[in-house]
Amino acid sequence: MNDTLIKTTGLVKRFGDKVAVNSVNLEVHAGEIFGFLGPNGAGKTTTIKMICGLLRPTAGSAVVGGFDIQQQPIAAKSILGYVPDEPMLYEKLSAREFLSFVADLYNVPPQRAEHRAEELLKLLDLTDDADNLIEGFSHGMRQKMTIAGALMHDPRVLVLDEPTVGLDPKSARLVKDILRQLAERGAAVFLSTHILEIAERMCDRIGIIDHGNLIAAGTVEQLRAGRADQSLEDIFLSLTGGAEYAEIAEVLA
Amino acid sequence: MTHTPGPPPSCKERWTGEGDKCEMLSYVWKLLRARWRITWNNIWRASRRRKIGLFFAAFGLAALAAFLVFASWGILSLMRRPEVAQFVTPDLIRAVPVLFTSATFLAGLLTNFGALLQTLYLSGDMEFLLAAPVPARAVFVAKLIQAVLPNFLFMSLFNLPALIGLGLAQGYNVTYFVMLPVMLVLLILAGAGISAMGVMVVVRVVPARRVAEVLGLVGGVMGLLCSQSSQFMHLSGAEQSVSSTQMLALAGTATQFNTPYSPLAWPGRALVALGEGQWLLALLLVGVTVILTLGMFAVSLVASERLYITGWARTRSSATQHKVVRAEHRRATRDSAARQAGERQLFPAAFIAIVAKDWKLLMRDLRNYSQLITPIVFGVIYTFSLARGTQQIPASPIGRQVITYGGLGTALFVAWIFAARLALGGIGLEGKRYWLLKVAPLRPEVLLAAKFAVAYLPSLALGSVFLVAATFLGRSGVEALLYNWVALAGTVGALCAVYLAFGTVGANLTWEDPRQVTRGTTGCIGWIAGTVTAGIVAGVFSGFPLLTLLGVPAVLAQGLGLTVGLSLCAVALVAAFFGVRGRVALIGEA
Repeated sequence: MNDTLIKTTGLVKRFGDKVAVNSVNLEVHAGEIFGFLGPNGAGKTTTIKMICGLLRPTAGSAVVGGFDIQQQPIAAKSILGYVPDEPMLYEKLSAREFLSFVADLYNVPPQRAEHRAEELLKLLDLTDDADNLIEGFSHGMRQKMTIAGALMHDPRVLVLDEPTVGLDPKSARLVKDILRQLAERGAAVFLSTHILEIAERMCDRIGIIDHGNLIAAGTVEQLRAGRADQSLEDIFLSLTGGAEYAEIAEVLA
Repeated sequence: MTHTPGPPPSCKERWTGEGDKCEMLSYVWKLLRARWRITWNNIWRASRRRKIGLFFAAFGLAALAAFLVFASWGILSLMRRPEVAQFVTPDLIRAVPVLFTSATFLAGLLTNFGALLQTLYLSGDMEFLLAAPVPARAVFVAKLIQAVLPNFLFMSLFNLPALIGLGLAQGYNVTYFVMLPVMLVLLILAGAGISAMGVMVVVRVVPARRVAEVLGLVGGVMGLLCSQSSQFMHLSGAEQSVSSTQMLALAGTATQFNTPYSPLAWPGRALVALGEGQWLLALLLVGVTVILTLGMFAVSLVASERLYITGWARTRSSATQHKVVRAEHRRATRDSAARQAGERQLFPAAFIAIVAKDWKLLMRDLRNYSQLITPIVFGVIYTFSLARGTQQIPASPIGRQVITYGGLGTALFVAWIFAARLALGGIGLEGKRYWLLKVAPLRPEVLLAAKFAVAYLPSLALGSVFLVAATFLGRSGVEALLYNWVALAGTVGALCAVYLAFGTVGANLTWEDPRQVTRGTTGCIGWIAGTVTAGIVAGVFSGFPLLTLLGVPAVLAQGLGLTVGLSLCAVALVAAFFGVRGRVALIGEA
């Protein structure tokens, strides 16, 4: 059995003359949490959008669960859950209505959908607000709603773009636990984050992208090879321009 | 680099900027300069086509202003002629500045409410500005000027040239022309100040977004009622030619505004006094106007100290908590069960979910109502016009045909406006939420079919109501009703398909205002294409029955009409769907 649930091959995205993502090859396996790191504008979100089928690659392919996201989008998207960087939701739907809508999009049987929605609302501490319109929700609550929506159909592949932004420590911890549980149940979790501590603690493997190029990939130990005393932050900065940061720190000191 | 922090500013200092090195006015200037920079960048960095368009627009507006100056100068000079002197007395001419200045103040009071609500409470930079060490009063003043300026410039485009023309025609001295813009600025500031206080009070009671939605609805309905006022007069039978007696009465009413006891009249009377060189009276009236208008503005500033920031903070902390009734949820659950039981084979769950979701979103956002109410009001007006018209149509065979198929025209007209809103903006309605549909395992056909249903079903339902009403009022038979209904169903189908196709190609997913769900050019072309399609199809449906006038049996004429008309509808429907199906995957791509 092939346990590779996300595979990108020579993934390229150009916007006019600008190369946002340049020939990215990566694999994420079942039961694995893959952390995707990079400075602002490095190409993280563009890569994620191509994996999820939100953007067409200029070249290369993204395969989810064995299905090419461009050639077999329905099959690929059926097993994929996505949490975007900005929680843009239908403001005039209530939380419960939103989850019911998502369940219908993913063909979740109604009774199961209702049960699942109640579970997720309770898990994410949203039960009291389940019948309120989303327009009254805080950023953190909206973020939790997008996570609940992504989990409605119990995806085998979960792609998250900065999932802990806007969450309180309790919710952030909860999300981390959910992701770990999903991975233990055999799902592949692909998450981008700026919080290196999360990446170091949670992720089985890490990929670092800079200027559209995947410049490093592997476990923290593999990235640390020959630099045993360095933290992930040190490794990240040395790979993506740490000297510049050191200069800035000097100026601010 | 070392920095020794001083004592933290007090609440009052934080608000007014007192005790700080920088004055409030300098902050107002900085904020306005930033706004000007944004506006300038929008113009300077726009595409060449847009720049050329803006140049011609500016040139056109300048030409219009110049035309208005000379037109009002010429007209007012003409009014000295003896043949019109009976209507245009010197008192009436003196009342003109009073009418204009009163209108400026009232317009500033009424029309700025929405703009102030948007800039004071709903603009995206408030958090940034209030987190910065900027006196909050400076933020208020800058935002107020920013909100008022476009309205002021628009009004000035008409009233300034008209009043300059009046001054030239009356031979007023130079002080009139100097003080004219000053007075208008003072009046608009006073009106805006009071309007701002109204906004601040209302927002403390009702959430700002809700107020904006209600304003959108009220504004749309008021605009529609104004645009259709001549039709209402026609319906009420009040439309008559204006007699000279009525002209004199109208002139008398205008001069009644120019009373020395009305504060609204003082600015206009001050301008006239300046122009005519009555210096003592002018000094008195200008002084009173300046004191009153600046006083009103000062009061709004003081009130804003208490109301603005606390009100703004409140809108952030207690965002709307609309409770959706449990009954609705239970109904939704029952609907889901019903779907599971039977309907699922007929329609995919995603299809029903999208249709239900779109109707909920449309119904819950009041800003949509003004656009959806428009066709209903139009329909009522034209149905009754048709009913009144049938009494005047002779009972000839042609007259009978007009009555029989005229109802189809009214119903189609109503459905057309409804369909244009719902189908052309079908995909665009998703806006920034479109990622949810794009990432879901949703076939393009299901999405298009759902969006088609969202537009088609209500348009057909509304059109059907008006068709039945028109048939009843026109006393046409059931046979004509059935024929017309099939024609309506087919034509609205073709119309929705064409609109949806163009709406898919030109979907604007970055809108903030639901009236901007389609990109301008594509929306315009789509609107024309859909209208032409509907015109051709409706022409075929209503044209074939006219063959009866040539002796062709009615059944045959109607049969031919249905066959050719429905075939055309099917062609339009299929062409639109297959033409746009491949574009669905590209929606939302940069």
